[in-house]
Amino acid sequence: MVLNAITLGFIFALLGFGIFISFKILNFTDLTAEASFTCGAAISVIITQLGFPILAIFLGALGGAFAGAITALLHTKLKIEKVLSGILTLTAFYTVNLLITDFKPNINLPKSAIGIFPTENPWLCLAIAASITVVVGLLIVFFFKTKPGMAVRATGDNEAMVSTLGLNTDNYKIIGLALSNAVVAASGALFMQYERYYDSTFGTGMMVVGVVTIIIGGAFVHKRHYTSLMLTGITFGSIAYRFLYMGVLYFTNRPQYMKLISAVAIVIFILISYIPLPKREAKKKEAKA
Amino acid sequence: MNSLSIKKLSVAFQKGTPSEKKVLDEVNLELEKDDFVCILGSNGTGKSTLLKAILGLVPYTGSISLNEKPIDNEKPYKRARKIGVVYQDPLTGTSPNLTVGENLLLASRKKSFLNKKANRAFLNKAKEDLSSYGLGIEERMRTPTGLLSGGMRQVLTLYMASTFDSELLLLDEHTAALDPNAATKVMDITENILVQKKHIPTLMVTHNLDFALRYGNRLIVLNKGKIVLDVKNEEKKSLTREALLESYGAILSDKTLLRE
Repeated sequence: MVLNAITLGFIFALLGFGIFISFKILNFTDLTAEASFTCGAAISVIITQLGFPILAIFLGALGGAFAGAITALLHTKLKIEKVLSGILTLTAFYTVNLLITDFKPNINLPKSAIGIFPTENPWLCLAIAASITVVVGLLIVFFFKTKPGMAVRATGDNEAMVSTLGLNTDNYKIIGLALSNAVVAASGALFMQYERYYDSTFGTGMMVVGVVTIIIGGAFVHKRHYTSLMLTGITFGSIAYRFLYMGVLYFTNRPQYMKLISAVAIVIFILISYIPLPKREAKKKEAKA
Repeated sequence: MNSLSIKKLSVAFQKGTPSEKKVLDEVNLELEKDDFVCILGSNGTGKSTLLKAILGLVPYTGSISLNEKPIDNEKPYKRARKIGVVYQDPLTGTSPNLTVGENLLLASRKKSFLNKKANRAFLNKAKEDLSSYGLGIEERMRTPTGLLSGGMRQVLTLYMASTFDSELLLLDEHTAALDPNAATKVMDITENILVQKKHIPTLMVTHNLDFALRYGNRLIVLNKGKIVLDVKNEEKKSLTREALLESYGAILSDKTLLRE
C-alpha cells in the first residue's frame, strides 16, 4: 500500500510538473490540463490494447501537446481570455476524448494487453515510475536552460521585455503550453497503464491535485526561481499528497473527505511557506558577510 | 546617408470620430548615423507616440525607413530585432526571475540552442563591458534581475538594447525613475556605450533640460505633434538654458495646450 502510494506519487508528480510549467513559469492559468490528462489516458488505453505500451505514452503526450497548443492559439491569435480559451478546449476535448475511445466512457485494460508496469511486482513498478519522473524532470530542467526555454520563462515573467528583444511571444506561449500539457497527458497515460483502467472522468479535479502538489512542494523550497529545486519539491509534494490520501482512506474509509482535507492542506502548507528561513541558512549568510 | 528617415508621419487617435485627436502631424525627420537626438516637449505632444510609431506599436500614416529599407510592413517584434529600446520603468526592460546572465543571453539574439562555449565567451565579453561601468553588475551574473537596483537594471537594459546589432536606439525617459546621482551616472554610461559602439543613431526623450543641453549633438522640441525647434552640433552647443527655457516656456504658456 505504501509502495502503491509512492508509485502514484511519482506518476502524479508529472501532473504537478505540467501545471507548474503553465501556472508558475508561463504565468498562464491554463484549465486545459483536465482535458489533456484524460486525453493522454484515452490515447494510451487504445494504443496499449494494440500492443504498443511505450508508444502509447508518447502518443498520449502528443495528444496533450495538441490540446495545449489549441488553447495557446485561441489565446494568442484570437485574443480570447486565458481562462476562457482553456475552458473552450476543455469542453471540446470532452467530446474528442469520447471519440478517441469510440464513445465508451470506461474501459478495463484486458489481461492480454501488456502495459509498461508489471503489476505483479510493485517494486519494479515503483522503479519504472520513479525513473520516468526523474528523466522527464531532468529534460524539463535542461529545456528551461536553453534559449527557447529561457524565452518561455521570460514570457511568463515579463512579456513586454521578450517582445522588445525581437522575439515573438505567441510562439513561446504555444511552446510552453504544449510542453505543459504534454507532460500532464503523459501523467494521464501512465496513470491509466498503472491502474489498467480508463474512465472519461479521470481528468476532473486534476487541476486541484496539481495545484496542491505545487503548494506542498513549494512550501519546502526557499529558492523558488530554481526550476530544478521546484521540480524536486513537487515530486515530494506529490508523494506527500498520496500519503495524505492513503491516510484519509485508512482512517475514514471515505475518499469523499479528500476534497475538504485537500483544501485544509493547501492552507496549512501555505502557512508553512511563510515560516522564515531555517537557522542553518541564516548562519551561512552571516558567515558570508 | 540617412540611418532613419521618417516622412510625413501622422498618428491620430479615435480616427474618423468627432473627437479625433492628432498626436503627430506630418512629422519629417532624418537621422544620420552618429546622431544622438534629445527630444523635448510637454506631456501629450507626441514624443512617446513618435517612438511607439517607429516601433510599430501604434497605427500611423506616412513612411518610416531604417537604413534605406522601409519597415512599415514589419510586425513590432520583427522591428524590435533592429531597434533597441529602453523605457522609463526599470521593471519593463528585464525579466525579474531570470538571472543577469540569462537575460543577457536572451538578448544576444543569437539563434544557438545551447552552445555552452559560445555562451560562455559571450558572457565573459559582457562581464568585461559591464565592469567598465563600475556598478558591480558583473559580480552578480547569477542573481535574478529582480534583486538589482533600478539604476543597475536600467544600465543592464541599456546594454542589452544597444549591444546586439541594433541599428537604432530609442530611449524613452530612461532616467526619469532614478535619483539624480544614478540618473547622471546612467546618462554618462549611455554616452559611453554610444561612443563604444561607434554611434548608433539614438532618439532620447527627456524632460530634463540639463541632460538635453549636456548630452547629444542634436535637440528637437515637439509641440502639438510638430517639430518646432531642431538644432544641431554648433548651434546646439551655443544654445543656452535661458534660450531653451524661453522656447519651451512659450510652449508651456500656450493656453490652447493647457486646455487640451
